[in-house]
Amino acid sequence: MSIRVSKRNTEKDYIFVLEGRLDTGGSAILKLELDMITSNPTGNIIIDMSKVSFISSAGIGVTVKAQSLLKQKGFEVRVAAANEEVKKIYDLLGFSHVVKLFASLNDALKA
Amino acid sequence: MTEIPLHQIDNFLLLLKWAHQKGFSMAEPHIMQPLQLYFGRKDTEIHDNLEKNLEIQRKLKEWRIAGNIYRHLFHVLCFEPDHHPLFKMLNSFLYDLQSNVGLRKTTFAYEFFKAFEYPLKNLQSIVSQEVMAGIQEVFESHDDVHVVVSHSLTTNQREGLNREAGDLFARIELAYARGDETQLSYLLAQFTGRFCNYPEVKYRDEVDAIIEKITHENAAFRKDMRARLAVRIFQSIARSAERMDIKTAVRGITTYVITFQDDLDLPYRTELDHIEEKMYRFIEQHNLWHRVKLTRSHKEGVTP
Repeated sequence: MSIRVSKRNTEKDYIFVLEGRLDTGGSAILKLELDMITSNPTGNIIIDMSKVSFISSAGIGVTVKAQSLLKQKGFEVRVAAANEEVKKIYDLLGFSHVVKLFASLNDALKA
Repeated sequence: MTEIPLHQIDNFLLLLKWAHQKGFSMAEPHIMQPLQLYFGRKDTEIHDNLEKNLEIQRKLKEWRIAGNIYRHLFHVLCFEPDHHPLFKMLNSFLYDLQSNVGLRKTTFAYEFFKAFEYPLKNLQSIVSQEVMAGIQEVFESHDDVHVVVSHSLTTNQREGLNREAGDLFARIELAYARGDETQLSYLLAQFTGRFCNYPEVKYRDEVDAIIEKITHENAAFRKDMRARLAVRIFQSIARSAERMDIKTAVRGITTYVITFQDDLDLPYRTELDHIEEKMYRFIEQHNLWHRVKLTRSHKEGVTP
């Protein structure tokens, strides 16, 4: 399995902590988890990527789709603590302005 | 009878072309043998194994019911020592399948694709490995000095592309007006594949509007067309990576994300992962992030 997903909720947000690679296999797992929330969201989704070693277009696509669904309900997806390479890939492909990237989980929670 | 999806036919044609280029050693086990085994056995041929004989007789009986002209031709050609006529016949058959929905629904077509299910998977895996190895080699043997990072078109090139887009769009409009979904699916995939790396080309919005309309009405069409599009965009990305045209490859990946978002059930997804990983590593090693970054803005959540 390329990724491990653990989740918890705060009073208003959902927090997903990822560990591993967000390639096609890993993204399929994340998508399953996100689908359960994006259908009827009650808060923002914060994805802690501090332990994500690689992200491909599949992972970016899953977060972009979740963001577009949440935006319709007045919420958003926030990516927290991603390593430099992951941030650069979001930026390179032009999606760093679609999905908001935060330096730390705390920053994403406070935003 | 189940209809053979168009993207499977596209993929077969692609692999057939590749196998043909590679020669007999590749074509023999993956194309010829399955044909000989499933469709080309002679009526008079005697086998020691009774069970095998009965199975062959059963299959022959089914083909007689199907009554398709192609089975007779394959029957003759797949035992010929020269495999070129057989490849031509296979090509014609696959093109006929693409354009003829009736043929796609026949028992023969279904059996044909069933027979090739595993041989094509094996061939696909060999092709993928070879393409990946080629791309790996390209990344390892280049330094940043030779990398293509700019892709601005000259006025003449832009005019040429717009003319090409206009011609293709006229054919799309015609196929749409005629309600010819097979042709429409092919042309739409062709348009997207051809121009996915050129955001400035004309008729993009008009094409998107037709895609939107038709996919809204027909879910199966939408799924099949998306798979065809995914293959075309992937090919475009792989070709760009092979040429070290990283900026174009990046543009292709962005188009891929915008078009397919969280649709992970598409052909060549895993191969795309591998290309991306190698490419991002190369960009990092040579500190090319700013040089290959896209400058245009993207819409959020686009297309079907």
